[in-house]
Amino acid sequence: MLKGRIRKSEEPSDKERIHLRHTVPADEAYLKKWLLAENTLRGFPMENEAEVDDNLKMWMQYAKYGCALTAELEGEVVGGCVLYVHPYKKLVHACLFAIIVDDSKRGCGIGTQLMEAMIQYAKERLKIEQLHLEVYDGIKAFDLYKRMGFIEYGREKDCLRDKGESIDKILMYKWI
Amino acid sequence: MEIEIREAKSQDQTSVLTWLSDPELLPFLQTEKGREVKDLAQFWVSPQKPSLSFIATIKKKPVGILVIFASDYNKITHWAFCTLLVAKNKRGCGVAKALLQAADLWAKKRGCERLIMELYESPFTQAFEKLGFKPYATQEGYVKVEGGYLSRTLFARSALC
Repeated sequence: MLKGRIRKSEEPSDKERIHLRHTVPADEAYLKKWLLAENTLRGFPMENEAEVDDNLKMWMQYAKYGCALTAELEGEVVGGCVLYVHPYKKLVHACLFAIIVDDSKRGCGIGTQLMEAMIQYAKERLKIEQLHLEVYDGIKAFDLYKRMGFIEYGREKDCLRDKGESIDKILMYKWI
Repeated sequence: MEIEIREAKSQDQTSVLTWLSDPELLPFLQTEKGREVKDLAQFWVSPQKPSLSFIATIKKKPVGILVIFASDYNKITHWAFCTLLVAKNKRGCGVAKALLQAADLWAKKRGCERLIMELYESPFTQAFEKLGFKPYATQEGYVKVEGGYLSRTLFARSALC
């Protein structure tokens, strides 16, 4: 089991109990449940269960190659992330990732810990030099990414059209 | 020269591979010579639906390709990612323009309003800007090459021209 890097300054009791492990097929049900939780899909391009299933197929493909991690808190599955490692040699050092935390566990530092552990894993095990991400305007995770040192390098206007709302995509990256 | 546009066929892979293998172009591509370029050529001529590829021909000979990577996800059908390449000896002859006209027609039928593409400090940046692509984001260090990195610039173009 991979242990998450711990920030002692915030909620040490919870953080010390967070562990990361490689994602296994049984985790797909958790990912699906979190994605389909109320209001979560506003921050994703998927709109319905069929699209979520389609997206998770790709997530689980990356899991087969050790590029997806699952976070557990006291034995309970609470979050996950995937590193979309590129197959081309010239692009393998820069990796797009996605992260999700159980909606009932948000706001208690799990996202921060998961990110820290993922960055450490990406750097040390996968030899990744730069992480980049896509986040939609108005999504709380944007603040977390900024706090973690991700820099905004552009915005794609009107990227999502969701229930009559036009939402911009914010592009961010960080050298690790 | 009359330029004709048709959908790509698997037999076009050889032409696309030749264009992608141009030593002057390779430094500005995401792929390396050999297996990667071969895989990319195959991927470009046979994308999975709803994505598709157009081939431009002059006297039945392939001279350029435009690949549209589209998604069926409801929230993002109004834009698509694309990539475009013209044979070295046919640049400046209107091939790219003809391919984009075909893409625009396809886009209109589908309700797609915008085409997006990316370049890695390519010498063709100005040519793409002349075709209506406008830069909106630049990511440093996206491509690792011998002796350093190249940035990735994303461009958008209205498909409603």
